[in-house]
Amino acid sequence: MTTADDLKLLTAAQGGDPKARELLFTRWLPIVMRWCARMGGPSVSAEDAASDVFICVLTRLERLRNPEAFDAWLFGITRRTLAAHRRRAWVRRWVPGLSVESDDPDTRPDHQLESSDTSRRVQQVLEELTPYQREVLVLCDVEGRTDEEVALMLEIPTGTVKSRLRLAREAFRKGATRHALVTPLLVAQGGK
Amino acid sequence: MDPLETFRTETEPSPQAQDRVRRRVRQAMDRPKGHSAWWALGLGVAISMGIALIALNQPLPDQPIPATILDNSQAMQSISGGDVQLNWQGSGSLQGSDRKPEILWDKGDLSVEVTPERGIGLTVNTREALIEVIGTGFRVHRDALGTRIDVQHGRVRVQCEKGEERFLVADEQMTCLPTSAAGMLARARFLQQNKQWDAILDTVEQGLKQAPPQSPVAEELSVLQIEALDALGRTADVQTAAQAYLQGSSPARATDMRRFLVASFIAQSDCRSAMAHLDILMKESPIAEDYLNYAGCIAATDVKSARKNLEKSLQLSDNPEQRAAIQARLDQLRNGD
Repeated sequence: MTTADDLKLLTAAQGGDPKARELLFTRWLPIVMRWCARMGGPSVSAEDAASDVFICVLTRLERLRNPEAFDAWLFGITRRTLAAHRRRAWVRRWVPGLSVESDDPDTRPDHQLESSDTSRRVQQVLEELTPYQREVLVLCDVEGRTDEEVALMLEIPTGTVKSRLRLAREAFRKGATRHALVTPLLVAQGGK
Repeated sequence: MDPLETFRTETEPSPQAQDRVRRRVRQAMDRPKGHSAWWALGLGVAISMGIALIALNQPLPDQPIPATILDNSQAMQSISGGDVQLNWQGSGSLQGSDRKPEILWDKGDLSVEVTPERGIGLTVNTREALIEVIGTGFRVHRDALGTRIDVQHGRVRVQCEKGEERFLVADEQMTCLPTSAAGMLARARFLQQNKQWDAILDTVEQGLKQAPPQSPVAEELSVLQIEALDALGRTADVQTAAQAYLQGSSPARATDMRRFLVASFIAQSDCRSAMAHLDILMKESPIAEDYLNYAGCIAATDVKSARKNLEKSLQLSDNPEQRAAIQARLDQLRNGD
């Protein structure tokens, strides 16, 4: 959620204050990296995607017209970046020998992510959801945001968040059963 | 634990990961920005040059490369009309064609230099990794720890057998870990040389998840697991793991396991539990330590038997220091101390 402190930083950053840009970057970097790791799927490198998101954000910050909706703007960029990375990964997988390069050749990690079998299976189940369902499930049930916060971020009515979340939980429950995951999420719960 | 909680925890970005992203974004933002007119001009020039180059340069003929063994000596070879230079000290093989050379790398060091922009799609395959070149120089080192890739310049695509795809650029490196249970065993043994017990335990536990139960690899991994637990001072875990192992249908390394158990029980002054295993060991294939341990356990209650066991231990021991210690203890018992 965009706080009063964020707004101050944004105003200063848009005015060209390098320290404010740095602070803004530092504050939002882990949040974006979480979104990328949780919504990017197994074929997307969260670090690569997060790098691309911030290159875009820092390049276009001056064009942000409504600083109060910074988190929605940032989420929109992340969503588009992830979609682009997913497409590239798909092309690489299905067109052997064709190298589709990312926008930024320097954004390359030097380590392997390790995750448990449980996390990999959760990721598989999330991959089976529609992008809309995946978003609301990650934002509400993984990150613990309220329906109202998510509605502002996704720029949709709260009722739509609730209905997407209900369908997402239903789909997740079915997927979790197929992938032998036991989760308390399966207890139907309303919005927070 | 709730799987979503696990997922939440494991997708938290580490400070190191954040630093890497921060560094890359800064590098990208620090690059000089060109004016759009210059971009257009540059693009035009590049297209013109490309057309000229295509017109002037014949594409590299795609002749098959005869399958070649890259033997275990230090050597170098130039292929693809001089556009690919290989230097190696290790073993592997080379096949494919001039435009798509394929190297299967088995072990040791391999350095590759590929002239960019020549349409060469070189790949290096190891058991753990597929490395694809995009005009670059890089080094591959494969040993029991896995496959390590260091990029000197240019960029490469690396696909670990188990893991996501990565692009590496100059000065970046990564290691693809072994994926099979046998590979994990080899890695654990390699780590054993430097007594990296935490890493050994981690590797062994990953290997045990993949190894078929009671297979020779699983047996060896189990022994290493207990050895690592023992070295880490996790006595209770040693006992649990060793006893679980002994309950298997036909444990091949039962003798080793019993000796670990005896050592751990004796360390806890639990002679009663230790002797249950010593009795079995002494019936099967006793060594000097078994008699020595047995003697130590019964010395307080049966001096005569302790003496006999010390004598047997002395007969079997070929370690001079141990022999001297056994002899001294034997003398004490004979003198009634």
